[in-house]
Amino acid sequence: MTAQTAWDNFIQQGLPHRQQERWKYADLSSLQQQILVAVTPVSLPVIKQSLASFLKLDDYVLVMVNGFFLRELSVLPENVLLSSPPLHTTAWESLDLTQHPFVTLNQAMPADGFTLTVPDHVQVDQPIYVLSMTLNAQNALINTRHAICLGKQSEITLIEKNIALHSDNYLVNQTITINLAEEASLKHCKVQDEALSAFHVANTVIAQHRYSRCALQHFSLGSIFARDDVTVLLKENGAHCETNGLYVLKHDQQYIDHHVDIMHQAPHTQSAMLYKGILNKKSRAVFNGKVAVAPHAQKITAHQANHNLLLSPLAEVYTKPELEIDADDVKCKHGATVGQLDNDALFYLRSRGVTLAEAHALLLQGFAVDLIERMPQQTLQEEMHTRLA
Amino acid sequence: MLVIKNLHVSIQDEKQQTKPILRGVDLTIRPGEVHAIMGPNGSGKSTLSNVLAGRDDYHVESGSITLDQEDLLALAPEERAARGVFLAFQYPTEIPGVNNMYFMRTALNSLRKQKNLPLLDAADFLMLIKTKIKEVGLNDSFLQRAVNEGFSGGEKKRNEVLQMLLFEPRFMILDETDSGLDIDALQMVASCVNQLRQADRSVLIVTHYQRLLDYIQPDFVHVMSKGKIIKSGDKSLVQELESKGYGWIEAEMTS
Repeated sequence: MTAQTAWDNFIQQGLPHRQQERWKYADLSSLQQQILVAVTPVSLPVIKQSLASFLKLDDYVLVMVNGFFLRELSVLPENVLLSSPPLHTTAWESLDLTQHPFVTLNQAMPADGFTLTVPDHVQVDQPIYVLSMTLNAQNALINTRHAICLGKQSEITLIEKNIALHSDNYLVNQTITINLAEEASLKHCKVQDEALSAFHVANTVIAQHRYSRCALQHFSLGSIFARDDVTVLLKENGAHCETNGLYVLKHDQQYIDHHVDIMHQAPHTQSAMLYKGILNKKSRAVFNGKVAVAPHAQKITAHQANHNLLLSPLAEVYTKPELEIDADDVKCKHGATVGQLDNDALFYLRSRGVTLAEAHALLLQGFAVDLIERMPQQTLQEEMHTRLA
Repeated sequence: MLVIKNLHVSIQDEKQQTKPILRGVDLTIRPGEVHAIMGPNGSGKSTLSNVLAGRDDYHVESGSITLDQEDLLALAPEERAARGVFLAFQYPTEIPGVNNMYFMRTALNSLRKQKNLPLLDAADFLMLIKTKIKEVGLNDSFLQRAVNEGFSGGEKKRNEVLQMLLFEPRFMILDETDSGLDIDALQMVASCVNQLRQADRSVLIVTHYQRLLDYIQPDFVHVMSKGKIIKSGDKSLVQELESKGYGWIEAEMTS
């Protein structure tokens, strides 16, 4: 699709509204009232200074600032290929884009980003950071586009961090397309820690081939409005994906919306989905996890679960785990819970001398620990534990 | 040390009806004494234990509890713990995801902080807990599990006694710690309590059976029925209860 066609489509379609099933809880009125502008460039010395505390010298890192890829600050392993601006991809053509209006907007506008290619048999043991920073930007529209292609039996771990400094009321509109060839393995850990006035919209589509493995972990802490759509196409025999997420909403009006679609298109494919939420104040979360099994996709297994803790009587959760099964020899399991902190556990801890605040923190960490333990680095795990308290 | 005066406690049942449970309990426990409370099911023994530790599901209608002249009812559970109150739970709570050893270190340090004592780091704590855990007959793997999660009934009780050894409370309440224990575990509980027994430390044992009291000799024995202490005596009362049951005391009361 050319940018012009995308633009025409977007103009015709507009921003999504609440009559659309996939958007029925999403209140975008504050975005509609806002005039977004292109970002003004920030000088390299300022960027270097701002990033200093986030970068370690020995890390592999891809740096994005205000939607622009910065080759000067990026460090990649030698055997991995990178092109920026990103290469053209047809990955979105298999999806109904009327359901993904922000993808259409992304394609209609200029966007920077990268295509990361890991050749066959290349295994990188150290994680590669993708640091996306919004810096000194007010009311900016930041449009980014990435593609990640893993060759046969290749293996990488990506740690994506979305952060902001001195920025408000901006919109990040990100698309990522991922392709895993036979027996490739990807771990992708994303920490969304945008400014609290920001909009963060991300669309990811993943195509998996024979016996490939993909593990996604989304940790969401920031932004006033976050929307994260992931579509996984398990296209060939034995492909396996794990989609996990933890969302922590601590502020009034904070909203997050996860839509995860797992399409079992081949036999013997496996998927496991676990999302957990902690909601305080007058915040809202939407979880919509869907597993669709094609008629010929026999002998698949699929699990999905969503568990939520409400810490305030004003917080709301809308959870909908869905199964759509057209095959007859499958193992599928799904479930969802919404609850509060366990009073007996609180009393037990306090009766041992643990203060109320510490007891809360312990129980929240206990609730989230199985997700946090999957984070690829100890420092990230510790950081996430402290952010819960 | 601990003085309970005319304590009336109620609870709200599922139909939001107020149901009285304790109907005027009086009890004085002096430093160094071991008291046992026995009585039929539903007499209010566990309620008393939980009210002492500060569980807020119960409503104190009237009466008072003081510990060393301080109003215990005005204190939060963690403040009571800092003053030395310890309840060994009848049904210890399972807390998924919370590491047992980390929990115990957090609790011990929280107690030490409230008493202005230096905090223990992970290494110091490990040394300490490794010696204590042997005494209660649990192996080290229990330290790395979630608090009480998947523990057997006996393992849960051993984990309670482990915390008792660790926190060295001044006023210990054992709420049916002996129920569901085999004879080896029972002797372990008794030897740990006896080891902690000293002039400035008091114990309140809530139990249905004579067995535990054969190993921990109580100074006083009380019988609770329908929310009141209806008879008190020395340890000879235990044998009498064991052979005659509770009926004769209750009959004595009504006649």
